[in-house]
Amino acid sequence: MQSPFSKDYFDLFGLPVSYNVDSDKLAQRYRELQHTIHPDKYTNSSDQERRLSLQLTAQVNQAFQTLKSPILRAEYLLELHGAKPGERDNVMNPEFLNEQMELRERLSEITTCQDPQSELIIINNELKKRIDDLQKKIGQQFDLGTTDALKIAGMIFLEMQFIVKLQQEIAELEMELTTE
Amino acid sequence: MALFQISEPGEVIEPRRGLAAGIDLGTTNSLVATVIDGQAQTIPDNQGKHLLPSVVRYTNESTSIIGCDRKEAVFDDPLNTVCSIKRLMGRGFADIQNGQKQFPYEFVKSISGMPLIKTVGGDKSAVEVSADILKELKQRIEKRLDGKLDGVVVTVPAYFDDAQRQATKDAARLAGLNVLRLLNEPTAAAVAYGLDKGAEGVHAIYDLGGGTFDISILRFNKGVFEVMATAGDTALGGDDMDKIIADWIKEEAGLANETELFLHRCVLCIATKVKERLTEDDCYSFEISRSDGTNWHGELTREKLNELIDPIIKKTLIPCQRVLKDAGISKHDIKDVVMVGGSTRVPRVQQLVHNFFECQPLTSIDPDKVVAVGAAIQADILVGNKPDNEMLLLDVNPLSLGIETMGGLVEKIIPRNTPIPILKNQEFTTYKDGQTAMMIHVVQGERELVSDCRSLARFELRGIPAMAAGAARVQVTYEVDADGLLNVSARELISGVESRIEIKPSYGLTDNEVEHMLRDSLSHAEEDMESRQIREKQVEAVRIIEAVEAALAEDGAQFLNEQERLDIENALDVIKKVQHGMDHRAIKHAIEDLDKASTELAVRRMNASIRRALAGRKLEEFSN
Repeated sequence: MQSPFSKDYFDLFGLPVSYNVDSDKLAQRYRELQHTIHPDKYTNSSDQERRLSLQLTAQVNQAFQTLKSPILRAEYLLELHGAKPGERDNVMNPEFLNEQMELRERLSEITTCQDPQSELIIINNELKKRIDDLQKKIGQQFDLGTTDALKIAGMIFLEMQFIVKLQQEIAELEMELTTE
Repeated sequence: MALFQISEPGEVIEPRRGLAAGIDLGTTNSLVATVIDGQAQTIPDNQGKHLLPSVVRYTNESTSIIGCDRKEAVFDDPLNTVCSIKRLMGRGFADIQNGQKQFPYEFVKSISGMPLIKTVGGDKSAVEVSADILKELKQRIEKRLDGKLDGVVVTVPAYFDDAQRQATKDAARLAGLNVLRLLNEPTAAAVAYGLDKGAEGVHAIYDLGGGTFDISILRFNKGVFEVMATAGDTALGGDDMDKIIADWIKEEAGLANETELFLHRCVLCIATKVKERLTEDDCYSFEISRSDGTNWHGELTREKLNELIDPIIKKTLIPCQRVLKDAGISKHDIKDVVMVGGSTRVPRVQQLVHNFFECQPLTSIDPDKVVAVGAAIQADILVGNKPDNEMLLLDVNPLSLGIETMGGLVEKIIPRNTPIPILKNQEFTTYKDGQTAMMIHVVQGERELVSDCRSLARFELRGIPAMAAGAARVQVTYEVDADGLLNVSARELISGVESRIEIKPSYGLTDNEVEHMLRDSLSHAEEDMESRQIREKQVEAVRIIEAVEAALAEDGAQFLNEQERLDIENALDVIKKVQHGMDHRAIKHAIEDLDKASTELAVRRMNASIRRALAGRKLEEFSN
């Protein structure tokens, strides 16, 4: 989104363009920016300033959501570099796909498990480890920044997407199990 | 008011203190609060009562009795006495039919599909009934403050959807109030507590009112209240407990098949009383007169009561579970649970909440008053009485906002618990060759099927140039403002064709309808529409003149060249000539011109303040 205020989300928060974001610093600047621009600070200003404040706050919120989330941050960086994989680039590592199929199978059988809750926790922990690992790897590729590295980053991003989707499904399952 | 102040040139005028109030428009009771001598407090009526029952009785003399004792009026005149109207806010006729038993009134359908309650005083919409309650509170506070209110903060359940929020704002407008902000009730409660205790950390706000339930998780850090997640149920509350108790009484007394409305209401009132008494006592006895003249003697113990209401309380724990998940925390991260709403007085509620969160519930501020008090604090800030204040509220949208896609599925555009205000774009394309129009269906809710979500609005983008299927690029923009209200626009990017609507619920009030009601309500009031418009524009002119002059004095020299400064000064001269006149169109015109002339200054000032906010940090980085 074009903005009269900043080049990109990183610039908006005064942070270097990098996958490795200092989350404390990010949260602190988020609060500082909100103190300056939030619509509540402009209730007695001209309509002009109130509109601007609304626009800018919406943008800061969007930027914060993006930079805070490992997966959205990866996607945004790929977009910034013009390296986001398209639908045709969807060729995934067969090994990874196998692993995913296996996990899905375990999930679909979960309700027949003796203790579905603890089985979910086990799967969740595995996924958490996987995603931490992928984050580390994608960060390294972004640091390298070459065309080849960005291509690899794109592949890693697709794998992250798979896992995040699984995590969401597990969260839903957990809700169902606890509210039954 | 600044308008009437006479001052010598060069004399410094103390800025006038704004008159502001916080209003809690509740299912059972409503309150108004304001800050007096630095203390936020609820304002009583002339009999010393703080709580205004949210009950309006309509009579055939076209007067309405507001805040009447529910019990009395309900017995005398059940069909014309409206209570729990909050449950009908933003609801369509179909919603009412599903749960009509809950509402012992006769309904008619308005032309736009809204349910209207048939009374001897005319057919009333939920918005009108709410406006009557708000007018009463407005009168009360203006009498106390001895002046007209500049603005109010009106609270809504955090889990209110767009239609319910819009209905609340319409009601306030209809009551002649200037809404500074719609504020979520749990957030308001947190403000009241936060300033009281100054407690940093993560807090849960459990808000169980007469008809709505909210659970919010907030982080309080260096004056910033950040809502991490919110969940709830807008049709769950103390009313439901009363109903279950009433059903039990009817069953026990052999009245289960009685259909008479009077008896139904009568038993409901007894049920409410039984519930209230059992917060203190362990057992309560009562009598019911049957229609055959005999009496039935009943008794309810606390233990039995708990058994009856447990299903309702447990229903509140499901959103509690969800909100923890959405906030990404466990219950051990929570420092305390703030209890809000009259229904949290029920001991069993406190007990089960305690068990769930494993920490002691906070009840030190009166759970009926805490929301109004928090709203008053925020209103005082928003009206400009505390320019150096550091407090800031960052809220979220409670329900996902989506769009209908092929096959009746929902694609989420703004997920629930996204911080607001927010703006998001999504691109869609045509699916048929030569397609020139596209239907945009805006929905709210968490489910995957459109039929399971709430429909907010439908509109059509027309005039798309004929292209092959998939060639057009339609960008749909969702924009949620700081009140949590949604605007949607759609634009075809290649041709630039645009369509834009402010979301009004499919069956809600249109702007014209609100305008019309406003006109009706003013026709026998002291002022007419014309003079109202003039006054509104005059006030707006004062505000913009003050704002632009302040900006010019502060930053004009720094940010403007000679020509730009002259343009603004000329626009200021023009508006000052017309601002006290009686031609509201001329004032409007001058406001627009001044607005245009000062655009650049506004952008540059905003830019500079962002830079200032980050400047210290950047230096620190460079020196590293």
